[in-house]
Amino acid sequence: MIEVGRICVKTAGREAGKYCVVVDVLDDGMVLVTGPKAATHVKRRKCSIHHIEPTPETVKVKKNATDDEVIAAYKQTGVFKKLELKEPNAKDIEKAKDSERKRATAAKTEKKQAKPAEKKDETKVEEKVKKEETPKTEEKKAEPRKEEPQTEKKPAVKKKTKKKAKK
Amino acid sequence: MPTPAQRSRSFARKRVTTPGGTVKIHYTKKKPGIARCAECKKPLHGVPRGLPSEIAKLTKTQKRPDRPYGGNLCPPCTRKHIKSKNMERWEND
Repeated sequence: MIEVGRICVKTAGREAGKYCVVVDVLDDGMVLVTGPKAATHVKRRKCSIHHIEPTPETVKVKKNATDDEVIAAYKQTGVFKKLELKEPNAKDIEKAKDSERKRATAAKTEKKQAKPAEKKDETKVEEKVKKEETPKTEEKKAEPRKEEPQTEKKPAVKKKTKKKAKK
Repeated sequence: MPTPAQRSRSFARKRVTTPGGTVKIHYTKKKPGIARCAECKKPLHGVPRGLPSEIAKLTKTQKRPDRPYGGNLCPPCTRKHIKSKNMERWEND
């Protein structure tokens, strides 16, 4: 039943109950799906077959068709009337495209930010190693100093105990 | 002594041991029950439990899952609903 061009209903997630078209059939029971977003608010995404319910309607669409091609195919076959959907304006299509562009740019910036961060980490690690080496010598010097105040404190404690005993 | 209003059973009673060691009863408002699926009565995930005044402070997305019938039906039951609706829609065509 599930082929390229089959109109389906999504049954899981926030897009449940909304119509979509199968654009590509992938391995392992996965499928590429679009509303498109301008028409039915279903984003172009990979989707499991178990999260889709097929309908008897089909649309003539090429494999890996773009969203504009799918909307054109909808208009030709009169799917908007059959599914009781609003035909998307030019504004709606632009909105959907803008949101996709924003997401793409955000993903690119994240990748760019992630790459230099890794390099910095390496330099930081080297610096840390150097820092760790240097304080070791200081600690050795510091250890005997610590012992001296301890000896000073001990008699102070003894004095207190003696005073308590006297009282 | 509690106030007479707190003696009604609509208040939950909590036993608290004080630092001195004595046990005292604290009176608190009862929480409402867990949200359950309207069909299969299973407890729902993603729906918080608390006093209405606490839940009113949460955002809309924190109160229920972002899905049709979210907060009312469990996911398998929504799937059944959508599938049956889809079948009815295309029966006569």
